[in-house]
Amino acid sequence: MILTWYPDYCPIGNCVIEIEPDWSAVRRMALCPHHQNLKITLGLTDDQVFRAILASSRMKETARWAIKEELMKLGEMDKEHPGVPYTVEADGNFIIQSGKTGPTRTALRTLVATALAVVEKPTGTSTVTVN
Amino acid sequence: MGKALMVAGSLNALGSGNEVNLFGCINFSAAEANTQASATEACTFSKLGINIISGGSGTNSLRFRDAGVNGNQLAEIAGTGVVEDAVNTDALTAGDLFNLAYTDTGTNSGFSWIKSNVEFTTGHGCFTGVAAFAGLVFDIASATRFIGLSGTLEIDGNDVEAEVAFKARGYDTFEALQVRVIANARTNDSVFRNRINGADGTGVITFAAAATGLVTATGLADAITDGHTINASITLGTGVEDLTVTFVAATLKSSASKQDTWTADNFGGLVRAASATAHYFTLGGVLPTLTAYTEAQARIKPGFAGIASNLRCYLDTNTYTVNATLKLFQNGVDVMTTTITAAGGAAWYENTADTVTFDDNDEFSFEIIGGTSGSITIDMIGMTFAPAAAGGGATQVRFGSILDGIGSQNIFLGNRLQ
Repeated sequence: MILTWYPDYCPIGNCVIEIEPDWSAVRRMALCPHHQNLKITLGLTDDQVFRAILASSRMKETARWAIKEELMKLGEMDKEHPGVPYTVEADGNFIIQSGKTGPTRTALRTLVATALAVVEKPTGTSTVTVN
Repeated sequence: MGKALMVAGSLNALGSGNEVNLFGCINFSAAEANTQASATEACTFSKLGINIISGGSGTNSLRFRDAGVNGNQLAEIAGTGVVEDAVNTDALTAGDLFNLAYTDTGTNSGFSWIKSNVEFTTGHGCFTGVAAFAGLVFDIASATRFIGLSGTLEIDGNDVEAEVAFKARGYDTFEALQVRVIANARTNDSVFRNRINGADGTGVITFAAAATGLVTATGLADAITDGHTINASITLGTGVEDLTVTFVAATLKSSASKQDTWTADNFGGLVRAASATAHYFTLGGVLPTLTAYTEAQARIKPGFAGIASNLRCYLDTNTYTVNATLKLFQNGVDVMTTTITAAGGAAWYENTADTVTFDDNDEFSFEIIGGTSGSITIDMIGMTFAPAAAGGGATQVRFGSILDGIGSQNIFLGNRLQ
């Protein structure tokens, strides 16, 4: 069996990463222009850039879930909502679209910052901004 | 070698800017990435077509997309009707991503089917899957649920495997499985598996905590025995965080160049009260409401010559007081019947004897009629294609039908903004 992961958050194009079934290591990869540049610029190994790509997803998904949980508590989002939308900047960083302004957005930003504080961030991990 | 048929359907109308793919689906997405599937085998797509049956007041265009750029195929029509690109093809290498992009200049388009042929460069097979391209949440903690491989993707899957497991007669290899996830708040692994006859195959797709995107498991080569059922499963660990899925799809192959095609309702089934009114369904895609399509609207051209056989359906309830009939229509005429035996209960109902020869311009649909009183719950309707016999083959032969297992359940087959 060959397990291949196509992350869906590359700024342009797709990384194609063949991985061990337990995600413990990379077998081989073809990187998108952004992550190829990241690898070269930061001098990362294949495994390190894989860890950074996966950690980047943890950053955005942790932020998205924190926002969804809060919006569900406020009665403003249904449990079956498919997920708070986000955009990917050219530099690979994420903008989470909360759809809120003012004090609510400020509160969401605080919640997200707290949630992200405990997420491991290896070199090359993307950042998250809440709009 | 040879062509296979892929069919998509939906209960919803397409709006301009919707992205979709050749799987039955509940909803669409404006985010192309949500719909992109992997051609796990090198293959050529051809004869992209759509039957627009309502709305579509402007010019309606369905474009094949290859790795995020326009492919060659364009099925375009002004107003309603059937359109097919009979000229252009799109050849993909293994691992290329494909999907369909719909645009129009008028009102949304209700459709009965989208179809395409696919021909593998090596061997014979097809891609088949279930989708909800805007995403559906799976969050049942510490449980395994089951997912069909045609029809619609349903929230949290189905806890009754028999209701989604299709009896295979043509496919003999489960070659690959693929899953796309657009949101993943899980803090542990989420595991998808291919299932054959109620047991795990060798395909295991694990989504690590928080990982999103498309994951494919290829090179499985799991054998499917004639009559065994095929489907997928999802197992979540502890916690109720979201795993949002847009599609689950399989690559199925046949060493005899056969294909199974089926339409399905993967959650709860479609209830049909006994009636003298005939109801019509497409060869693949989704089971819509009973009156969604006329026979003409349900007709699909497989696009190749062959022999059709094994007309069958799985019902999870059957309290009809008089036999009803599942029929195969060829060019508007019924050519094969399968008896839905009265009070047969949860079971497969199959005609294992009759065959019908067809050419590459013939069109097929399914019909169910009869029952007098009582009702059935339809989970799957399908049949099998085989290559045309050398020298033209036999014409239709009619015998009786066979019922399996009377009265018992015997199992034999991120939202990213762009």
